Amino acid sequence: MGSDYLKHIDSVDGSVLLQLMDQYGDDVLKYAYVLTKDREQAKDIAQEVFIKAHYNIHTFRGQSTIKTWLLTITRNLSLNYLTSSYFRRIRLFGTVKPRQSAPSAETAYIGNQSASDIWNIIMNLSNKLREVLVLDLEHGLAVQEIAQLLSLPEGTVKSRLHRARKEVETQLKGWKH
Amino acid sequence: MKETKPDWYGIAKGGLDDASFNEQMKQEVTRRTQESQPIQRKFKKWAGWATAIVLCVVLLFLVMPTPSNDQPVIPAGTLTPIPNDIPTPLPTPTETIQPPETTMPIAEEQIKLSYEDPEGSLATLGVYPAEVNRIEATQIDKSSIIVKRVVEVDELGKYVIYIKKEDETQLYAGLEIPTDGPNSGSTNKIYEIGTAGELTYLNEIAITKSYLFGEFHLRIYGVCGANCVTNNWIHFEEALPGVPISDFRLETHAQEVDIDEDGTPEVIATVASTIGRVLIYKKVDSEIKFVDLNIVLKAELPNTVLYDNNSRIFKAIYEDNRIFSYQYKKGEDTLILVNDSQVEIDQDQLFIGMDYDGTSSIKLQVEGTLVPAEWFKDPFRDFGLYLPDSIKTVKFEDGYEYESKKGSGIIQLMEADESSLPYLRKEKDLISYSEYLGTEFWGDNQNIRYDYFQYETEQNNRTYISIRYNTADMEHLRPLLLAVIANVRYAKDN
Repeated sequence: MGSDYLKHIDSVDGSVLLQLMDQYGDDVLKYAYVLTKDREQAKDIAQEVFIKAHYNIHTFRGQSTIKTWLLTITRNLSLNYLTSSYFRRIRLFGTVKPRQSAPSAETAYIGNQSASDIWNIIMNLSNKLREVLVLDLEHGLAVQEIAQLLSLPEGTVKSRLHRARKEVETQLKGWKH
Repeated sequence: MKETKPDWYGIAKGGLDDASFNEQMKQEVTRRTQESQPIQRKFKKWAGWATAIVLCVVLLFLVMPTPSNDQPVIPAGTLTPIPNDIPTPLPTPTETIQPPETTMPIAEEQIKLSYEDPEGSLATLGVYPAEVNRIEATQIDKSSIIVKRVVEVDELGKYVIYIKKEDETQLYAGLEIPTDGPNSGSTNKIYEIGTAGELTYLNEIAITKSYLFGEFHLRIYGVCGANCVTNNWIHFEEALPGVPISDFRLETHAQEVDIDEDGTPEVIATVASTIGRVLIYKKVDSEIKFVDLNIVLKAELPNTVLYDNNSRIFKAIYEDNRIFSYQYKKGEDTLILVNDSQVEIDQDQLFIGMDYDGTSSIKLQVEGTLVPAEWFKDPFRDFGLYLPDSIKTVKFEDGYEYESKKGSGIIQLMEADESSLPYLRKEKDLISYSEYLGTEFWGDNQNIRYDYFQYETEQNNRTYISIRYNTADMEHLRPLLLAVIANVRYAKDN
């Protein structure tokens, strides 16, 4: 669904909303999960995103892609959730457990790592690094789009992306500097 | 130059989580967005009709001959310019999203009440807390029960309050069966009457005389939770001497009031959950019938109805803060409008409003029960709370929280200056508190509830306080949480 079409409409009818959910639902859900680390909250947030999109489509000016716009809403809702109660933020860090234990030296070759190993590492990165990495890796946003979504300079995004990737690779190799 | 992605990107991509935005979630979104659309569809329908009417008007002008003396006959086949005197079509209404219209009731001067069968069709529309089927008590061996308390009711017998097994907490009421006459000893049997609350509230049980619906009864009142009560009215019949017969049971707060002043008490039942609900039960043609005032006054969720027995006023409170007050008309099943006031309801104060004075422990008033609580000063705030045993402190990097040991109740103190509150909506069940800011719901079923309050001392020291609980636990947990926060103290440097 094109941004050009959506920026000219004042409301999203049922079929358009369904198309948006079909096309971007998983992206929104995964991003919400990355930010909140809470599957149930991520589901709530993901649904709220499309409800907000339904009511606020008139604010979409086509200056970003529709995907970036939806992910921006996702981020705002997720941060509202996180900041409205600090304990949830803290608890999430405390309760996220890696699905597997840290890779041993024998298997510390990047090529042998499973997706879950990599995601375990990513999900335990700091918020700032995790966010840019996920938007790049999982959602395929360009640096410019990430910068727009996070309201950051492009240089900052590139810098964080570089650090995030380096951190992941360091852990995948099984040793830290 | 195009950026090269690391090799492990290819392995990781798509492997974040196997959750997907499934059909159920899509349906939920569709449902919630469509809930506001009937108003928009109505408007669109109006717009459609208006357009049709305009087109008809235009057509009418087009087919009517235009009077003109000088215009030449235009040969067929030539283009005919539109004469100047045909009015330009009216602009069609644009489809803009109108603010939602809510059909708010207008206060009626008088409302006739129609009482319904509690087991009829109306009852299937909602969950009502009454049972009206007749239950004759059956005999059971006293040896099969564990008596916890005995209540003597004048000369009307000894009632035993018991549990059936040692590890159970459900209480029952029974009537001892005398061997020979009321003043004789009792046999080893009792009549089992029915449930009577929870063991925790053993001492709350009361058995009192009642003239329910104009007939002598005994009312057995029990408590099953912080906001949960049971009422069981029993009577006796000559045809079944000594046998308690239950004909009316109500699992909510009830007052016996002769509301229509005809000499016969009715029962006014008040249900307090997410909204206030008021039901009236009376005997009509020897049958117990009821009326739901929330339906009568068009004050169902999210509106509320309250009853004040001192003034005998029924208050319907609507979302837009309008309040309609009604009184029951004497001798008639009719409500009369008392006033159509827009005045805000009198609000209670939740917070006791004291500074910490060094008292290390107090007793909290929780639904009529006194609960001991110890002082705890929040190290990160200038405020502290008195915490009962059932609430524990949980330390985080940047603050403390206070959690109930049972259930998932949580209390938080937040700096009023630094915190930004989420979008809140005022719920009717707490609107009576002046310090109440509003509520936020979370969860798939909107079953996690956060209520926010603002506490401000006389010296303008403020804090936000929130309580969090599952709506399923509201009745037994929220009173405790409210009792704790009501006793917050300002305690700088203490």
